Amino acid sequence: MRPENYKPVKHPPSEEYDLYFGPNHPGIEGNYALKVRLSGDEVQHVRADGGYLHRGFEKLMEERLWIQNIALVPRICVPDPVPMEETYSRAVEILGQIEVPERAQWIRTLCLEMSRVTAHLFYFGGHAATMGMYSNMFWGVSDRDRVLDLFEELTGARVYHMYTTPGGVRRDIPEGFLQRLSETLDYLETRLPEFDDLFFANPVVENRARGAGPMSPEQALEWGVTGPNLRACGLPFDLRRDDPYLVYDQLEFDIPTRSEGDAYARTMVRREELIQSIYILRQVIARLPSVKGPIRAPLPNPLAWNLPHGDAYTRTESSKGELGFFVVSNGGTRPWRVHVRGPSQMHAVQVLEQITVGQRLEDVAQIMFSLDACPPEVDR
Amino acid sequence: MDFDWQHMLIELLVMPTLAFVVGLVMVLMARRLRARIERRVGPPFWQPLWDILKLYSKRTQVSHGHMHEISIIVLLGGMIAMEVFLPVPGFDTFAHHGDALTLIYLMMVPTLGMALGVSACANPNGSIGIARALTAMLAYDVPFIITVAGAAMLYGTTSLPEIIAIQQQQGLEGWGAVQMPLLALAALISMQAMLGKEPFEIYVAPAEIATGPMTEMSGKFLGSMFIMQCFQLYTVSVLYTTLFLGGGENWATFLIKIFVVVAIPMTLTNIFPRYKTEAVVAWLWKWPTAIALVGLFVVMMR
Repeated sequence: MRPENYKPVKHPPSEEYDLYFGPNHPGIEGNYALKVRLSGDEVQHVRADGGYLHRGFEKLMEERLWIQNIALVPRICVPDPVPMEETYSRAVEILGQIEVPERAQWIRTLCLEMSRVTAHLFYFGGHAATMGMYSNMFWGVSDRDRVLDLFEELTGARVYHMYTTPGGVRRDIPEGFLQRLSETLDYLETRLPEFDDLFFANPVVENRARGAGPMSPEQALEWGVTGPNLRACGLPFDLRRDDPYLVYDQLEFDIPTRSEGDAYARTMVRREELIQSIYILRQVIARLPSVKGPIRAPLPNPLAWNLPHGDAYTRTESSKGELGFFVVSNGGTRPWRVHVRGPSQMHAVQVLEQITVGQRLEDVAQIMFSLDACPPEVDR
Repeated sequence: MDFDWQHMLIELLVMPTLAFVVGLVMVLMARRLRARIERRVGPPFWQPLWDILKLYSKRTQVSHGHMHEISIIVLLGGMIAMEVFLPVPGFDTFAHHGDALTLIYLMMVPTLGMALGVSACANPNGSIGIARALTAMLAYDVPFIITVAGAAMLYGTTSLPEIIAIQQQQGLEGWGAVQMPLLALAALISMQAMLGKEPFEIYVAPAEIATGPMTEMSGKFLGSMFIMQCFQLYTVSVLYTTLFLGGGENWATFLIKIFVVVAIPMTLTNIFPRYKTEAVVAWLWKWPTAIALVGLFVVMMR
């Protein structure tokens, strides 16, 4: 039984054919598509097709009060929302010349690293799933949930925390929270060898991921690649060390790099970064009890809070790369213009379109996921 | 040979039904096992059945022509034919009339049926999927056929009921797995590929080709694929039990053996991602084939 409007389509004979990846695809953390042109199993051409998650964040932010935008920004990247709140808040603080209390800065650092841990755990699972290994996906998600439990305790929400606000954070650390965080970090450390056995050191994973979607350091710089994807090409650039914000200049940590620039290198860099994030969190846990004081600076009535004329660009090392907020004020109660510089814009469009060409059909999904792009960040 | 038509008719009806029911429980076990490894609870007991009933209750919205519809009959027909030729305790009339070679022939029918149906769809995901399935079949059939040849040489027959009888007469020492461990190992690896489980799961590959042959299958067509999965698990495990584990002395030992056999690939599948197509072929033509050839050589030297 054919539909009434069925019309057979005659295509000219061709060695090449089109395959549509997405828009609901396990190869990416959201709705995003690729139009792939193939010859046999080899990719000839790729066209990124975004826009499925366009909600007009930047325009919406012009319509909301400075403080109201805190409810909007975490939605720009679901797996790693804290950098959105923090980067936007810091831009507003620069415009409003607000001094953030030291305790709030430590708590923000804590949240940023917790968010990085959740994002990387999610990534490990996702990358494995693109190769048909679902155990790792469920393990990653269930371990991520343990950190989300802590976020819920701290902020009242699991994903969209709306916890970091201009001037500081919404509330202080609950009693016993640091101990529970420390126990969770202990647990994650005990889980790493299991992840190694199952995923990172799995010979089939290595067989599949090594050499998939390679990128040279020169190409990475030319294409505006940042974050773990850049460090997987051997370039040790990390904003936390090269342009420190909050209290990162008081913390010790390494910048893991790999030289191969392929999907396996991108995954292994994130594995090392998870260890570094745990190390950073332990330092914050040790230091935070001795940092006393308020957790937020007093703010004026939000309805009549006019920020002075000017603009500010702030940037954060998110789990995906360099996240920037360019915020312009015309002296009103709302932003005049906000531009979000999401790292996924570069990774999911120009980089993905380039590095997938010449690769195999089997590798398209894992290359797409290995770049760890966040579609709403592209669409904004 | 006298034909007991009444008994044969009963077997014709009972054996596919039995295979389907046992296959359903195997699917449940596989899903629960996977869930436990993945730290999930897993589906409730009746879920595999509800899935099939739901799919069969749906109206088919789009068909891709007669070949697409006939292919499902070919697919299920091949499976059902296989079930009646498998020897199980109390039901082996047809098994006496067919043998291991008949089964090897019939085992290709469902995949070819699927290929016919999918090729009628013109969906590249389906075409790539079925091309991969046929390539995998070429790869795993080589070690599998060597193992069957080895078993036939050892026991001096290709008749499955006779192979079972010989093993049972000799007790545990007579089991194929003890007599020819290398062939048993090679067959186990082939079985992993035959069931399309990781690292050989190349033709469904949801992240690569959107479930391949199943892309254009919906409603009753997809329900038939689910039924095929039940039959497939049952067939492969019974064949392995017959050749290497002494078959079933009674229903209790038979069921224990086939469920243990199925549990092995279902566990292994959770710790591997999938290889690429050419890597599957290379791997299967290298390791299990080499093991099987050595095993065959050992059998020939006895």
